Amino acid sequence: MERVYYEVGKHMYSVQGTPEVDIMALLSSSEPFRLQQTPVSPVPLLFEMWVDTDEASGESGREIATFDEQDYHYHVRQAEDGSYYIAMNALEDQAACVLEASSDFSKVHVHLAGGTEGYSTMLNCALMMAYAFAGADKMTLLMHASVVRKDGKGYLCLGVSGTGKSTHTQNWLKYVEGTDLMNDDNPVVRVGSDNVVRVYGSPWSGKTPCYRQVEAPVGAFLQLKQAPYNKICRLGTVEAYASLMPSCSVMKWDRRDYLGTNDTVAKILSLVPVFFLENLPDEAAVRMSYEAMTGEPWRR
Amino acid sequence: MRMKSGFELRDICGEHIIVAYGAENVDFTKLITLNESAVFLWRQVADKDFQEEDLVQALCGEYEVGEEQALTDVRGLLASWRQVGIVE
Repeated sequence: MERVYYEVGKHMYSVQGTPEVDIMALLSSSEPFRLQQTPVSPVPLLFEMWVDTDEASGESGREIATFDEQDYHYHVRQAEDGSYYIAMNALEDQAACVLEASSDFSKVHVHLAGGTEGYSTMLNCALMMAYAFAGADKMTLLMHASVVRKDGKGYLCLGVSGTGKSTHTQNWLKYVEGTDLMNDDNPVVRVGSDNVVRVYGSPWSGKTPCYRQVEAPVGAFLQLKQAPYNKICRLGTVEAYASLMPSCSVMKWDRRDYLGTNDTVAKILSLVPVFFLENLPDEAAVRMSYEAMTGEPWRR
Repeated sequence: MRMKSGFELRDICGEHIIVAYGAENVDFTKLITLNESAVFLWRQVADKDFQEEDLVQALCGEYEVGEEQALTDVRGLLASWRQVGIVE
């Protein structure tokens, strides 16, 4: 079976499927991230993934958690050696898959089930989990954010679904000249060995198709909250921590994953400011966040 | 008594924050910060069984404080740790 290589957030990973699984077709949003050539020499991979439509070998290990998140029901088990068995089932339709992963998510087997129409979504879900959990101890985060770029810097809007992240970034595109959208839902954020925090586009972008192989140093984070007025302030360390942690894809029950994520967030907080914007969906709010985050006066 | 498992003290840009993880703490959403003396006491009792008296003695040994005052402070601290559910 063919092995396909991708590079996201400067991490390389491979995905290979059995003949009935067309990886490139299922991962169409990953196309901008696919390597055109197989690496010649062995390269360090963030993880390796194998995909098939076989039945999983069966539930094993201790039950860790069952929960519903967005449109899926998750059932997580962990064996003595730390390896994971994660079953995902769509709440609305038949889409389902089982993911079997080593404790550090460097090796991931995905068993697709529940009808071919759900394969693409399930495989992307599995990929996001693998990416987030394998990257946890590599100063790499998969965050829930909408990101704009202006003058070479990335600005990430944070907040739970429905807070107006996308609305605020759309208003930046509308009111700030020379702005582009890097990602609308799940960008990658990394702290480099040069102590620079960078944001990267990814194959996952929520409802907005924005799958771009782009990167930029992070200028600032912006925690959003809807309000009947506009007001901005820079957050202190504790509040900033409380804003960033819930915005990261993380398994709270896993020490390696949680503390790794925690340490990355701590490092980020020492390098990049976090602002809190209570806002209306208008131009005045954009002006406020623009001036605070870029330090530049508003020109329009 | 004993600190519950799954709580660790981390330094986040100079702030001392108790980080909660583990299957049993999935629903723990509080964020606890400690000041310098609370950090000192936390380190005395992490990963072992302890009594109120152990904290009082440790506090008196480290800081210039009378036993009576130390006891009051320790009781106050333990009450708040119990309230947020990090000691058992």
